Amino acid sequence: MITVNNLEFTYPKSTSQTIRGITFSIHPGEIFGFLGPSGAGKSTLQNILIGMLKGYRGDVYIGEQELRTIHRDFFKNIGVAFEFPNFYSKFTVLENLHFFGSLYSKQLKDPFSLLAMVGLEDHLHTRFSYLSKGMKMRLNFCRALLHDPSILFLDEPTSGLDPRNKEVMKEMIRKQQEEGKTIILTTHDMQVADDLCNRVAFIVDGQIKLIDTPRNLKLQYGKRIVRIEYRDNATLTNWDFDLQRIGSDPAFLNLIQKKEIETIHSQETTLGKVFIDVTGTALI
Amino acid sequence: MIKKVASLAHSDLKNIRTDPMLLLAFIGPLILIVVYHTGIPVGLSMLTSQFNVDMRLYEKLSFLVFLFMLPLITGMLGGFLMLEEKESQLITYYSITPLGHKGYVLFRLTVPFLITFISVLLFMKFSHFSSMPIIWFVFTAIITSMLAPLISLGLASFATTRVDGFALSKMSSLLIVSPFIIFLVPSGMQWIGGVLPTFWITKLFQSAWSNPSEFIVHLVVSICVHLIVLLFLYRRFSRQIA
Repeated sequence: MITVNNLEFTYPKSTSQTIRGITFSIHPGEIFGFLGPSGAGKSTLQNILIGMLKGYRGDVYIGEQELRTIHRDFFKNIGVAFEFPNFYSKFTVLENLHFFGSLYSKQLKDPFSLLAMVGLEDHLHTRFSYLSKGMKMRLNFCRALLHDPSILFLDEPTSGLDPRNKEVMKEMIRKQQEEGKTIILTTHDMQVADDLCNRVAFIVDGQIKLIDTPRNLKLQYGKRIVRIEYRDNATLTNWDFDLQRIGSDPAFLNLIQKKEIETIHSQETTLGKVFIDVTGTALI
Repeated sequence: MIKKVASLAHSDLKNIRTDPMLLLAFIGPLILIVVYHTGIPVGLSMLTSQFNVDMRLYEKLSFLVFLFMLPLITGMLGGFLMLEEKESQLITYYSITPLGHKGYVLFRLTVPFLITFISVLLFMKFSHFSSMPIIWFVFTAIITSMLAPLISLGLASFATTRVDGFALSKMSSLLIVSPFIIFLVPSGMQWIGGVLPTFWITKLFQSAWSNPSEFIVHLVVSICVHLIVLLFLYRRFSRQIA
């Protein structure tokens, strides 16, 4: 679906490259996450992929077509939700959707059902400037879906959302994947990436340090042990067991039979810790 | 494309309706036309009778000053709309829609041009300074109207916020100084005004009124000056929003 070979990009008047020889591919129907700290080059990479930034070196193929040769029809097939929702502040929610929809000469999704899907059905006639940050983000997501694109680019889609709406947003993104869309997610929220992405790429200083599935990364960089917390004469104690042949480990079996178990956790680490281990950089 | 243009025009009308300053700028050309054709003749004749000065000498000057105010007003209107869209990063969004960045700029510059063209035609039609061949009449109206997109693009590419825009719009009023330079400054020193596009429009009108042999030369120079400035501003604006 998307193939990038040896991509390099330098901003005009800049002396150093922002993107430095990146190669990767994104499969159809996949949720692919670009993870990295601020200034790593994630947004630049996204802006190249959506055809906004030109003058790059290397190849970027969307399907069979190189990005340099694309026609404006390309934009009918991509939906973009930028990190900061950009709408007409004096227009209502519905007016904004009608307006942006009119820029596409194709069958649109019903704006009412899209707004209902994100819980904005009671704010159809509310001016954009009166919406909360979370509402603006949800409207932003609706606009990206309005023309039913096959590729979705979502930049920090859960930024500014409360925990409940964060879950709603994640569920909606999964639903889009079920409908067959390819989704490219740019985020520094490791939990969101872990929950949603089929594969993630770690970007630091304009380079991809690693690409893999979150599960593989956690297994590879985590410890293959299980930590059990239990009560021993009212004292909270923990004990680590190697996962290797744990089912025949008499100490483990004895413990879970005899003691009052409080928690059992495998220590496969988190995506955030893997990121720090691999890149030596914390996500800010 | 027609659907997209209609939609953009519709959104502009909504924006203008809700912003008193833009609303005033939108109806400004009409007010100017009415004021010029009703108030100025009365004012000039009053000055003539009160001070015994023949103000008819300044009729052409006041004609050009009022004429240049038409593209100035519509140009500012377009410029402020572009500036608002630049500030709220809406132009960035247009560039990833089928309309595209070029389509957006084309629309934004065409509308002030067309509004100015119509108002300039009306303004000149009812003036007794429009007695010239019809093709010259149309060309002078076109060149004058090209000032509007130039001002829009100037505002949008040099200002980063609407506050900057207000300051710049005051500066762009300097364009009106050209007729004063040509009418009041000795001929040898007039050419310092050549950096202003309005200088060449004034020259164009002068040749249409009294020196027909120079009309084509001034027409070509006017077109070139406007196109060069427009191209420079377009490139600057495109670099900013890329």
